Amino acid sequence: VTAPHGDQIVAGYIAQLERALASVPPSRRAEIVDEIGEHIAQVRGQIADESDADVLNLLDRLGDPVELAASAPTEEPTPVMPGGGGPLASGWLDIAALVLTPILWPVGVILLWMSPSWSTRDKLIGTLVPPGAVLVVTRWVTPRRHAGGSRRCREFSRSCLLSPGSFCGSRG
Amino acid sequence: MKKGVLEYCVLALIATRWRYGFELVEVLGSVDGLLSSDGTIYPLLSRMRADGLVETEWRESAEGRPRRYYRISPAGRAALNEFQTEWDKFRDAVDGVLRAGKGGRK
Repeated sequence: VTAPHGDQIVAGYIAQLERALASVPPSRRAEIVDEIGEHIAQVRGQIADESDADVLNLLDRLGDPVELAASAPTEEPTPVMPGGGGPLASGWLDIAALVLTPILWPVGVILLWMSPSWSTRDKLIGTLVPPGAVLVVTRWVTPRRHAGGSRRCREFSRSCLLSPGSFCGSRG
Repeated sequence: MKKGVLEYCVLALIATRWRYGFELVEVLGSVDGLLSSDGTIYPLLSRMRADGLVETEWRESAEGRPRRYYRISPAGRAALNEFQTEWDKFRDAVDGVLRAGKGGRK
């Protein structure tokens, strides 16, 4: 004898489990749901005079669908990045260094040297190129352009410490 | 810690023969405190299969319905051996401390 609402109760449990496993890859989800369905069938087969309470008890022992799903990893494990600092921390440093190096050169340089993502050679380039470029612009490029009325451009480039070879050229 | 140990208990049970999921639940469920719930084993088996620690095979059961059977893989055997070594060391170290504690009370 099977429980009057046994199949309905089990179907509800399986539906809950499938919802809880929504973020698990489909093949893994099917595998887990199949195995748990098989487990339920096995236990129910062992019960002689099955009541609804028996089915509910068996599902209680099986565990809460949400808790079961929580122990199933949602994706393949990602390898840990070697070299200290979490990926987030170094990511923020990289972005900040990229944005700030041309604009606020001293701050950018400090961040640049703090970040583990660049080699010493890259750090030297990042440190020396912006002031070098400004020096080149102010020494050689601007005198020739002096009469050309590009003063605003020159002031802008100086205040921002941009390396503006192409920037000024596009205006001429 | 229990969760990590459970994985190796599964590997030990399928080290010498094929077993199906429900069989594993019955054996492990009889060990006090090892399974937090009967269903715990199924997501674990799925992950162990994805990690290559177990091999699976469908087999006809006595009741006629085919079942998925599990057996340890070579990678699983290597992991089990490593755990066995670590576990022996750990158990001996804890036993030593507990024995020393008892001796002190005499």
